[in-house]
Amino acid sequence: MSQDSEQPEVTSSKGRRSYTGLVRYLARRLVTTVILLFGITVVTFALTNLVPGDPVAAALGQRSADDPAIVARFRAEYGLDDPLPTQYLNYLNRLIHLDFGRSWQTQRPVATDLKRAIPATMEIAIPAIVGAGVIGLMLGAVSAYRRGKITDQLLRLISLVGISVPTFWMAIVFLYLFYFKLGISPGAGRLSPGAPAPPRVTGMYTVDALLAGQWATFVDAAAHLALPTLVLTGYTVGLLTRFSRTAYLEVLNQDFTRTARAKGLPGRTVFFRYVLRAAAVPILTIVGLAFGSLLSGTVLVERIFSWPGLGSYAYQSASKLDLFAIMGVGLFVGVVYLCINLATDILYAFIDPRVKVG
Amino acid sequence: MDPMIVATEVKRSWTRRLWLKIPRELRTVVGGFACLVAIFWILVCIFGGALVPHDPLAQDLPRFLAPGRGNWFGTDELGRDEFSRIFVGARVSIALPLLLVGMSMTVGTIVGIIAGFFGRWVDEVLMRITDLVLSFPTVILAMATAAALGASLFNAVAAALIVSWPPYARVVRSMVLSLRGSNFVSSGRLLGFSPLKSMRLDILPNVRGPILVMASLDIGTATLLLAGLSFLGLGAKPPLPEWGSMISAAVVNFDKWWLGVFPGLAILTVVMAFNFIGDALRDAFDPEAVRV
Amino acid sequence: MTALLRIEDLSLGIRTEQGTTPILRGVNLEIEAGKVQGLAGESGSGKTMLGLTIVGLEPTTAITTGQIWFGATDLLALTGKALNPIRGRRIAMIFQDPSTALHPQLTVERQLTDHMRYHLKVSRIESRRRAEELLDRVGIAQAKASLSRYPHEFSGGQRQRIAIACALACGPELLIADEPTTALDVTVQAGILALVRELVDSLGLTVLFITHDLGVMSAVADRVAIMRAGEIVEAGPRDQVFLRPDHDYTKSLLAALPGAVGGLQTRDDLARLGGIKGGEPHE
Repeated sequence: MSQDSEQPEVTSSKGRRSYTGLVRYLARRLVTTVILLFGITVVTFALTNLVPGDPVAAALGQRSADDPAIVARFRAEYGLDDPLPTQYLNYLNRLIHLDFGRSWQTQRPVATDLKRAIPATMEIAIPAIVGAGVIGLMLGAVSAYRRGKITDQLLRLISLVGISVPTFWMAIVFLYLFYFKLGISPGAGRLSPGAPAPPRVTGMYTVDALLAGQWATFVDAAAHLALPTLVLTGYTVGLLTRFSRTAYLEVLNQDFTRTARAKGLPGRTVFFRYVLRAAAVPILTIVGLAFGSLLSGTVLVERIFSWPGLGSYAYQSASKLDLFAIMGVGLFVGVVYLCINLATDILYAFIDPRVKVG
Repeated sequence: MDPMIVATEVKRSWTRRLWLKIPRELRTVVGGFACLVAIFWILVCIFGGALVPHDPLAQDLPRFLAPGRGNWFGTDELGRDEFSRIFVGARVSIALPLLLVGMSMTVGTIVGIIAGFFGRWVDEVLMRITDLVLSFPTVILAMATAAALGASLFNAVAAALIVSWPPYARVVRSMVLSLRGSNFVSSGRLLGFSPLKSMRLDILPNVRGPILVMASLDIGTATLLLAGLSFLGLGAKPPLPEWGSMISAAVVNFDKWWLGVFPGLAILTVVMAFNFIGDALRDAFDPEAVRV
Repeated sequence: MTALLRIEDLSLGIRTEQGTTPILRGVNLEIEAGKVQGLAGESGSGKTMLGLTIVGLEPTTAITTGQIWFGATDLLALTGKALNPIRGRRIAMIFQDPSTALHPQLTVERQLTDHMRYHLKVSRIESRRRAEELLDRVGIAQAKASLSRYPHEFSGGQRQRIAIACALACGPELLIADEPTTALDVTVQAGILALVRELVDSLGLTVLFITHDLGVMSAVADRVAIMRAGEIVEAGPRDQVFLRPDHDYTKSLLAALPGAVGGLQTRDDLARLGGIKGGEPHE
């Protein structure tokens, strides 16, 4: 951190920071991401092809696997008799063309299924991460500032409950309470039974309904997504409150925070200008991680709300051992995760002037 | 900065000293309660089978009985006693996560020590594998693995193990890296310790504390992960009583609230108790994080 | 002889689970305007806590009694926001470790000007002009170019100079310097001490200089107070305390100095100790 050279490194006549270091840093992150991307394909390839048990049986189902003609056709189609490296290259080639194989369960290409499922998941995941981000980071700050006080202890307890509740259980309890008992929520699904879906633009019903000017459909879709979003938010808030509290505390204990206070700046300025800026780097990482765990959470929550998103798709394919489908989900989520990590790394570089050094 | 505390010697009885050895957070009402809950569930784990009023597998009761006298938690869709199933299920739902955490801690520690101690390409290869596993969200990767291996309780634990060792490896590696440069490790090597002896005598004792704290915080996560896999039908198979799979029965009959609420409360209390204890242990090991 | 700051019977304890740990026990100290008041003591004697308490930065778990008179204001009676018009504006503080005292992600200009703009309500352009002057004043070369740099681009000694510039930004009457040279090399240390001395002489600044190093103290201070276990055991003009110490603790501290075997006899001994020439007293 402390680079003690007697003279400041003069980077240009205006003293602006050098961008070659920045470019080098970003290039390195990009290379790492590409390597991990290959790693992910190796993992999904290995899981699809090398697992104990017959991949043909897993992909076709036991009944079809008993028919030698179907098996032979399948093996030929996917080149299962080729040597492994060739198989892997073929696999990569198919991935590049967005061919994830065919789901034997839906009898459609996995890519087509994913295209339908992804917007549904994003429609609950995005509001959940935004809401949880705002609430969690705020509560974390309150908790850190009041450390040791009763507010802090209460918030810590609540966030502990938040991360300890099984999401799938919370979903069932909410559904029972708000739909069955109180009748506030319209229940499972994306729209009320019989209601037509809005014309597809983004695949997110609320957005599409607004674009088409169908106000009633928008209200219906929004009411349906409220409960699953709430469940996902609840879990993520607990996580973010806990982690951001630690991040803030770390910064609050730093000397520069004390310097800022010694300058007589008002607390709000100290928080927004000094504390938040320094905590931003760890907090960004946390939010990225939280989004990943939120995507995991959708698997369980979507199942309960019959929400036809990635999670439901993953669940259905996993329980039926539909390997190409589940690997498709794995690949997609893995890639999203990598992209988030890359994005946070890039943001670091702009938040922290020291990044070019490391 | 100066340590500003001027030591004031106060005479304390040995009981008081013992009491003060317990992490501060656990000495509160909530902390004590968390400990009681944890002890309660561990006892249920051990003696659960002997305590229950009904055979957890017997389908001899009326179906969907609401909670009441005789069947405190009601009965399920096959006429089995929920209370008995929860108590017997504790064995699977608590013992397996504990086993899982123990295993991932062991695997992660071994990988981390090897990576940190030998450095160079060994470190590079092991850490890239770690990164790779960490670049998947856990439930998705565990699901994919469990699905690929085939649905069974054993495979669920195996899948969970595959996704849960890397954080340990990372932490241990970084600790080993900083320890490797320290004088007492170097002097051990100068005394002629073999790498294995140096790892066992000088390094392992120093990473043990933080890793145990990390593990205690991990028990809750492991419990939730395994329950989640079972809930999805990738873990425990019927008729074996297990909390996650019991909750999945409630999805179909969600108007029968007792089917979901009680196993869920069981998971919640266990996870909360372990998370709280883990938190307290962490604070005790890393006092900087809370005090000042 | 007018006292700028008068500490009266200040006691401070830290609340812990087992009761209150006393840190300061009835401290009395007068800091004269335009002088450097040295405060020396071992680690843990409470000298840093005394400095922090003056600007209201003691830990939240601390309990205090007594008064700290700054003019007609009792600083100890002010809480939270009420201190802001004084803190940073009339009383500034610099800390031991310049590598952590500045915010790593903000430019030097930002850190020099934000409190200036808050306290003095000056424009951005005006505050930038003053910031440049300040950097020049504390001996940072290329002051204008340095404004847009970040702290990690400077050496330790330069960072401490920047921290001093920050402290001087609003023209404070009192500067509390908490071990400002401890984390620095000896040569760099001499430069910082000379700067502090020069600021006092030219600006009429008053300094509370906290250090554990009696050599440093003899070089910079006009008046000296010796602290031990939360109490001030001896205080007075520098020469008196160094050459004719009253208290046994002071004597033992002085006897332990490497340059003072057999005790300090004359002002020349004192000058050698501080490593600067011609110890003219500033009385």
